[in-house]
Amino acid sequence: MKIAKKMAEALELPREVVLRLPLICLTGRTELTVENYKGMLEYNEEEIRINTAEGILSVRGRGLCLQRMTAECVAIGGYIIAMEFLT
Amino acid sequence: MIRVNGFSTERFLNLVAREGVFLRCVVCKGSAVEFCAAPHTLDILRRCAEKTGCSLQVLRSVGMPKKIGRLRRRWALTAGACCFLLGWYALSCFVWTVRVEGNETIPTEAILEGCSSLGLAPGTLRKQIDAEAVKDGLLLQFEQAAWVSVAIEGTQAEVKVAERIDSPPVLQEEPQQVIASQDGLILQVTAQRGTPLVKAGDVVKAGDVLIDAAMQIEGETEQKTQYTAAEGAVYAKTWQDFSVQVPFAYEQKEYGKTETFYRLQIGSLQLDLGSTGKNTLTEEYVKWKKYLSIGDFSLPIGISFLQGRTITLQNAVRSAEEAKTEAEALLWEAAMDSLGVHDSLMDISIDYVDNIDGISATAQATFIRRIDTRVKYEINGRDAEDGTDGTDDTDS
Repeated sequence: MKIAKKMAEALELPREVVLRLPLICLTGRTELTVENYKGMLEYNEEEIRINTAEGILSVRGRGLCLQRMTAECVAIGGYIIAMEFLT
Repeated sequence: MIRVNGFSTERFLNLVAREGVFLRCVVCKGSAVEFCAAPHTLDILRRCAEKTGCSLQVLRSVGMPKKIGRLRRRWALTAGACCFLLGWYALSCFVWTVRVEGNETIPTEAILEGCSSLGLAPGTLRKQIDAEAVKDGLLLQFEQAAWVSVAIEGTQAEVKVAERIDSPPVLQEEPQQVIASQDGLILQVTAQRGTPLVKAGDVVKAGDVLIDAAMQIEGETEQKTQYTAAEGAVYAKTWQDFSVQVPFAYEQKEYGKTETFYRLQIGSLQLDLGSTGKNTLTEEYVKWKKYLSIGDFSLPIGISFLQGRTITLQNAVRSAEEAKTEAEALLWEAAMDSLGVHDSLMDISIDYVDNIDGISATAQATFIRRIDTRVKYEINGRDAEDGTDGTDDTDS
């Protein structure tokens, strides 16, 4: 993993591709897209927890929902209040 | 729309996502989740639900596949739609309208007739039309056409015509003189070229020279005569007699009851609807006409609303006063009809003679007319230009 990280840095390769790091895109406060996620841990209208290679990503908000969900990408809709890595 | 209920719906979602199913609009409803997925993934969803101990329920089916599935059961509607599409395709194989553009002197009807004779008419199969042949044919038929293009776009044929522009007439420079076209009392003479021989107040007869072609030019030592194309406007007071006979007995038109009816037109076939005595109608006119069309393309199917009435001729007798009034109106009409562009009618005096069978009326109308007419100038019977008398005197 360390070798891969160093190679990615040396060759300036995109780390989300080489290291499978989560790529998080926040559009305003209403849409959050997470690519390269590992799995859904918890899902309700106030909090969504997603497992990633960097730890558990917690998204808190109101009226949260999953707009799209595939094996690679998950798009969260609703009013987003906070986003943090728990571990 | 699918609802999944169970202890661990998150596990179900993860498993489904790993299977490559695309989920949309995933909404959490308490312990259940509702989402949308493609119908062909339903087996995968059931399997995943079974694995994770969740219960799966299909709430409703929406989308295009569902609509197509419904249409399969409604075979008549599907057949109708297919027939419509086939009909549309078949109709679009024909030319329905021929539009002519750019013509000013050549009548549109003549061009359409020419197109029709060359195989381009409404209702012709598009593949049978040879645009090049039509173009060449039109150029041969109409000498005034300098350029023609025939383009077929959809069900419309567009014929564009560019016409020849005639060269302006060459100014007539041969010696000419202006003579009077009729008797009259001269009121005004305006000579643009030439020597005026009359003035206001002169009385002239038809054929008298009004403006002479010969012009005297004063030189330093001698006087020179030059002949020109005389030109000018001469106005005169003229008189003209008119006569008319109005009989006491005449035929009067009597109009019958007006009837209305519809006429259905399919191509050249006409079918009248809703009139009992339409065969006896002697006069009919169209109130409105409507043709079916798809967009800008008119179909040869239409309906017209017509009005008609019968006309019968009845013998009638008018009084002497009525006959005089009729005669006066006819004389005024005749006098007005004789007016030219530059003429005006000043007065008209009418005399009536009573006959046994009617009234004879004669009128003398006073006009102000333009009486100048240009003719070739001759000097003592010889042509002013080449000195000949105009006859062929060469030895044969």
